[in-house]
Amino acid sequence: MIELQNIEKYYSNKGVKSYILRHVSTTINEGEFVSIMGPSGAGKSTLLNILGMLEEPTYGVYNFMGEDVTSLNERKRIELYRNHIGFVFQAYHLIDEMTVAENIEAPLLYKKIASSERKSRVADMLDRFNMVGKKDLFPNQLSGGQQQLVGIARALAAQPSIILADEPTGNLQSAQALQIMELFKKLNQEEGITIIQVTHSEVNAQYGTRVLHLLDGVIKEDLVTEK
Amino acid sequence: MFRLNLKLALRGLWKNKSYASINILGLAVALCLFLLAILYVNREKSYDQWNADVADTYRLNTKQPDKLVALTPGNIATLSKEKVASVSASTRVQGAWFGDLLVKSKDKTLYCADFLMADSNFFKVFPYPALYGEVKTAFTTPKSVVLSKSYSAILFGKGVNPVGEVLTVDKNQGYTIRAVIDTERYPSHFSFNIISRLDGNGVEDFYSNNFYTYVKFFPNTDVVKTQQLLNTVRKETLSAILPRMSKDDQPLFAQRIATNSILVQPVRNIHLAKSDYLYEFANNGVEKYMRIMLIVAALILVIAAVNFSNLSVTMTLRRAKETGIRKVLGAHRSQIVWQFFLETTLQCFLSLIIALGLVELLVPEFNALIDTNVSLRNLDNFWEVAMQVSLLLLGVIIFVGAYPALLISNTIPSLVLKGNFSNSKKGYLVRNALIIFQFATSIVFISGIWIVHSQLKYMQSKDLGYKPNQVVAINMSQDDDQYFNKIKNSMAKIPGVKGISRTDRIPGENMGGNNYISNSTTYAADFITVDDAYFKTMGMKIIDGRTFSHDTGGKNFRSLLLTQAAAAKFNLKDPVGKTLLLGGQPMEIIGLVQDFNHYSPEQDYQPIVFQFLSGNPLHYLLVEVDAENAVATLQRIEKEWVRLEPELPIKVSFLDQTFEDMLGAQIRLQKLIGLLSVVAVGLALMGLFAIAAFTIQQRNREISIRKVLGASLVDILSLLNRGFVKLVIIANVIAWPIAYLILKDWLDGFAFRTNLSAWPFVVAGSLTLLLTIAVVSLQAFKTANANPANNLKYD
Repeated sequence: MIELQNIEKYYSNKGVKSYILRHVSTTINEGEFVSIMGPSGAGKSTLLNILGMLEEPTYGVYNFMGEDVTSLNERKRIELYRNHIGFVFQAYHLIDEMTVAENIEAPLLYKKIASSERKSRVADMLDRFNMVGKKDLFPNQLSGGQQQLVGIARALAAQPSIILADEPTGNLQSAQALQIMELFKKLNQEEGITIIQVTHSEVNAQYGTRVLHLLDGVIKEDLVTEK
Repeated sequence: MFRLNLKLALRGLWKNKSYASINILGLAVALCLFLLAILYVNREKSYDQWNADVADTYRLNTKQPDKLVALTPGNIATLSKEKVASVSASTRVQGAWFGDLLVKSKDKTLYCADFLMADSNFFKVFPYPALYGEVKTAFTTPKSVVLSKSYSAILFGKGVNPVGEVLTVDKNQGYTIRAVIDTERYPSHFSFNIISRLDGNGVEDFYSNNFYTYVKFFPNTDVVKTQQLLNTVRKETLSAILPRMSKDDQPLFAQRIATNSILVQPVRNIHLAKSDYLYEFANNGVEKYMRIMLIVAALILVIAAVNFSNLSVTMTLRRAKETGIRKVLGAHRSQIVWQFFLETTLQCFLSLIIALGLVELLVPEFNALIDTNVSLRNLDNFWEVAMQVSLLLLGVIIFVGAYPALLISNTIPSLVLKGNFSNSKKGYLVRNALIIFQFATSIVFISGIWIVHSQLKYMQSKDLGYKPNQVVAINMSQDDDQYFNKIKNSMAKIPGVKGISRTDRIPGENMGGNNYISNSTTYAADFITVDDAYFKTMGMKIIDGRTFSHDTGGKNFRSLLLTQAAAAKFNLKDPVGKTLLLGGQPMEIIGLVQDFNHYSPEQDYQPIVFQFLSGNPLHYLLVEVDAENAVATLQRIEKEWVRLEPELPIKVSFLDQTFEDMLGAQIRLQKLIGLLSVVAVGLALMGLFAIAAFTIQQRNREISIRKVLGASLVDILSLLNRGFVKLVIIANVIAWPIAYLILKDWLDGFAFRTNLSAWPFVVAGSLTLLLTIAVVSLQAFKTANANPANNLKYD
């Protein structure tokens, strides 16, 4: 599903290149649950951003679902966002002006899904995440864990084939973090959604099927987690 | 999607209500001014347009070697209709020669201003729609009059049909009212309260320019050819008359035939175009004012729009996160642009509704201020106005919304989603440029109001060369010595009356003109008809020679006095004792009068000749009143008048008042600029207030860190002020030369003007600077005093 060949990312400053990523090559298949780990500054988030096409690599080839997306035009990229990719952020990034239900509905609007279908999918999500009673609340009226649930529900509403999560539990207490990880695991196993998450936590990484260890922009280890 | 976006827009408005209301109200005020300007322009452009044939209607003017005159001799109207095939109708119009006429109805006696006379063809050329009666037949019989709606309301009451009523005009009885016309709805370049039928055909009137002549051509007439034909006809006719004239008049008349010509002027242009014609009807030539008004209103609208834009930019930068998320969720750039436009549209629409309310509220004041008659109600041109307003709204929305929308839709998600929300320097350059523009405009306005005010003061306190505050003029009904002497003798006995004289014209009025021959060169100059006591009564100074002698001996009729300007025009160095020819008669110059401001000090001193009791009828009694107890003296004069003239209500002109009236345009300009300056400065400060609030809010963290590092309150205030002060200083540097040029140009229009010093600019500059510092400091003070711990928590 994802194929990276020799991805490099660096910033030039007065002729001095400072590398974020070096010679990153890997393949991620459909249905995998990959955790990217590493110390601060290792390039985890940059790698995830490149996977999510939020940033372009300086060099290298990136094939997404068999298509070279290294330099994709905006229209095509947006098509991929709409149909295949769901994002989950550490800081949740819900739209503050929208209610819970509206936040979940937002990606469906851009996908131009009919009103009745949208309603049923939103209702479905609210039901699934036990948030029917909270659907008219605004994000700042929810706890962090609840906000992140809304964030995941929003990502799932568009029925993506892959979820990219940047430290999804970084701002959460451990009990809530556990809940989110269980959810990811379930989504991966029961619905076959590919998940790539960046995390600091060994515990979180164990929920996945594979761990990529990054150090100074280079993949040091690529392990399959023990079951 | 639209509904959700609308809902979001409303929520956003509510969340930022204080900033949003600054946006909306500021824009509403500016829109209100602009709408008023549009209504004003519509109104001015509508003059004469009610006349379906206005494109074929022309006025015949006289072109003389040194001037253009809006008048022609009386026979031209008849001639053109009879001899020129393309003329379908022609008419003569004449203003009442002498000021206001006394009009009596059943139960009211009033002085009537704007009294016109027109011949029986008037309504063929100007087919007014009648409110009451019928205009077609209005002038078929002699002694017929037509009233304006407003004057009819004064005489007979509102909504009363006065057709068939009889008026007495200037002691002549039996004028029947034939029709009433709504002149406010159908404005024209001439205005009238009463039009009376002018009798006689004017065929024998070929010498003096006494009439306004209007002609209507058949459609598709070649105007240039017709003008040539008119001139040919004129020349032939006048040449045929020439041998019949007295030998003395023949050379001058021959010269006149050769040098004068008829100039055809489209009626539809008269009201707007700058008038170069002498004896043009009042209140025309407004195009320049119209343009200034539009420009100024547009400037203010731009200031308000800039506020709006700037605030939107600042606010949308804060919303970068939301935009980033939307993009990641699959929003196209165009969808984001549309969403922001929807929000802008909503706010602009609210502004427009408030503005329309304000217009309705302010229309009476506006009409009084600039002496016009606009209204939002009963619009004849409703669809035109609706169209203009919609276009205006659309323009404002695009102007105001485009930049913020494009800026925000450019957001790069990966940057903002990392938490790098608002530190983008983008948009600041444009924002700063816009702030500079606003302040530069404010500075121009402030220095403008200063200069306009001081020029007005200068004119009001200028030594005019006569004593306006001591002289009153009273209209007399007769012009003979016996009548005057009777009044003079009884008035002279009133204590407090220091002098009595009579004249044909008081300052401010158009004077009669004559040709004077000096050293065999002919000079045209204006003249005033006076008696011997005139100069003393008016307080004018005779710097050489003497006034007319007191005994009204025949020698006075062979004598003249000149003003200095007249002496200079006639090329006379020591004029006293020299001789001029007037109508073939030698006249001795017996005195030289110091120049005085007959017109407003906007114009230079006029060359004026004083003739003794001949030239024009002496309709004004001039009374010099002792400044002490002036009120009591005036009461006594009025009492005496009632005894002398029980039939004729007294009509007093205070010369200081007529002088103030001459400055009316300037006084109105001062008020208008004053008002606009307040609005412009107010809007600029409002904008600054909001921007300062936002900037400071954004720098909260930085300020807290500085405080922790030991910055004092003063340090922080100066830190926050620095950026804005820099902008205001740049604005000053830009505004000063612009203001200087505009104001110098304006002042150059005055013959007598105050000095243009550096003060207005310095004051305008310091004022804007002080206000800026005050507004910013007020905002900064709160933040600088806040507890840094609150701002340094993780967020």
